[in-house]
Amino acid sequence: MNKTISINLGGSVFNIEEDAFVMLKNYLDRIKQNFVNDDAQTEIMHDIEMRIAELFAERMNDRKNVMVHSDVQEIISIMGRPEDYKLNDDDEKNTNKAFADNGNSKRRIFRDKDDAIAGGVCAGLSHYFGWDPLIPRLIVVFIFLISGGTAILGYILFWALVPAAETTAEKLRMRGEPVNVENISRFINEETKSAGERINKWGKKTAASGRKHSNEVISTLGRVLAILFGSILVFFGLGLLSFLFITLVVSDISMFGFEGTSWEMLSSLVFNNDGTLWILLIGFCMMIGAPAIAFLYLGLRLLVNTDKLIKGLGISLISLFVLGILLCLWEGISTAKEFSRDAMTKNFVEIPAAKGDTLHLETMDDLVFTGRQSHHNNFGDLVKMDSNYTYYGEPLHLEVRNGEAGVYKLEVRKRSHGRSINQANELNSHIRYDYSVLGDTIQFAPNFWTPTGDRFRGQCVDLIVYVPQGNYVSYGKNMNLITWFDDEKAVRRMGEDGFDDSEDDSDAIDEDAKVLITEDSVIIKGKNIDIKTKRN
Amino acid sequence: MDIENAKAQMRKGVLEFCILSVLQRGEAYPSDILSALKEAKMIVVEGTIYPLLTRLKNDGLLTYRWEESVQGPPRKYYNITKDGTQFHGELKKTWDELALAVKQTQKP
Repeated sequence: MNKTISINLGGSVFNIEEDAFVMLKNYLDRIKQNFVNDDAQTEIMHDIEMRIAELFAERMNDRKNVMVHSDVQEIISIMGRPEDYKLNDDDEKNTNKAFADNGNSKRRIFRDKDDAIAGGVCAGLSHYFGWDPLIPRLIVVFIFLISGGTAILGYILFWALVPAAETTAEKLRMRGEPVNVENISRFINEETKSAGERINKWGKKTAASGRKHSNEVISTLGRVLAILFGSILVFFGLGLLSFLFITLVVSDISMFGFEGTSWEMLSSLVFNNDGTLWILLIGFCMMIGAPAIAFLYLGLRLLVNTDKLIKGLGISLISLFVLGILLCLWEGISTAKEFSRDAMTKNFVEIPAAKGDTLHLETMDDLVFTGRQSHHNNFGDLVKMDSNYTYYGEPLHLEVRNGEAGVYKLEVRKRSHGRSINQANELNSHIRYDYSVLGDTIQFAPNFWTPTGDRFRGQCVDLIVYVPQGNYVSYGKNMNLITWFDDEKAVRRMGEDGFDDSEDDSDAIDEDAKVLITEDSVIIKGKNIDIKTKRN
Repeated sequence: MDIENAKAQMRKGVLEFCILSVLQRGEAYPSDILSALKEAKMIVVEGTIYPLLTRLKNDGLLTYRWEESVQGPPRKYYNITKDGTQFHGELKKTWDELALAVKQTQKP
């Protein structure tokens, strides 16, 4: 009993026994090799196949409907040996020369699908360079690791651009062996043998695992994609975890716009109680941590190619994520509510100008907080008193306006937010701001502050100085701490609409002018001049 | 020197001439040509003829047409062209000269 194969030969269908088929196939391949460099190869082969089909048909009758080994032998004896198809000696020489050209001297690069792990790229390279396939494989894995996975694109590109060695001639060329009839028949024999072994092994393996990889290409492609996406997912997961680490452990929350602020400061300065901070942190961990774990888990699953699933992990992670968002939202909204109302108070002080027509403005030294460690952030300055932080704000705003004739006035505006009007008013009344009036000079404190225990609720202080038209304001020491102030116009005259900077009295001789040189500045001070240059 | 190879080469050299001669008598398909050549002991194996026919056709000396056959696939029927006839004439002239030359050199 023999297995038969159905073949299409020159347009007719024949049944042929397996060993006869192998013989015929080798025969036709060897003939084909004679016309490798002939444009008419296809046509010649077609004609030959037609003739063989005719000879087959002659041998078919009612009792015989399958071609066997002896039939093929007979046909070969009629048609002639492969060498008999050569047209003449010249052709033979040419073909030999051609073999030498693309065989011995020029090894071509192909992908080797027979010895492939993914696309046969490394196996192909190993043939090209004459190495063991393990060497290019290790190099590729190494490049893949140090490039953070991006080198996979190079591999895919190579896969797409370099053809696979499909025909025997290509396989010989890939190995750098001369493409001639002897090599081809030897190679085909080896191939058939090893293919048989491989099919046997494969059959056993598949029978054992019970899986069928019907299409190897698709499964390889899927594998490569799985590794690609797995790496990306793990990368994202690790990124989220390190983000969480930086926010929680390193306590750097500048990425949320709180520069130089720690959780501790936020807690004692903004939140009503410590619980708020903890709820917020737990919510934050859940919001960031759950997707991080999900990414890591999915990525690792893709990478190690396991089907194991932890039951309920997905739904738990999603619940944690949603709960985390809700907690953060809840605390965010309740904190925002603390700022929903605001209160403002205005306090006017008249300054009896003692002599002359100039009001002197100065900033006094910091009496309260000098020497304490302060944390500058975007609220203002925070100073640690006892165990809590005290808000020590600097957003003072000094403005000079045109006032009523003959009256110098100072207006101090305090503002605060709160969850209710009452609370806003209460916090407002707690704001401490110091200034003193000495004759024609106002001395301002550089900061206002709130007592320890009061939360930050947007407290701020605005200063407005009213100067009658035609009189002067002189900016004294340290005024640059609380106002935008131009050194060269240290004395400014109040005009009809704000300062009248066009009138300049500096030409007048000022006999009272003094020059004071201190450690860090030069001050020129007189009736109409007050210039201070500070050394940087 | 391989005598079989020498004989084969000799035959191959005049094979083109013989094929053209067969077709000179009229249209034929490869099997007809083959049986004529086999009869004349011009060829032993059939394979040789196919590349030759294709080459002659590509050189414009032959042309062919497809014809349905009663049994099996359609067949290629070859015809000699005008160029082919002229080429055949040249070859015949050379052959006659050669035959004469060979005959003379064989005379004792």
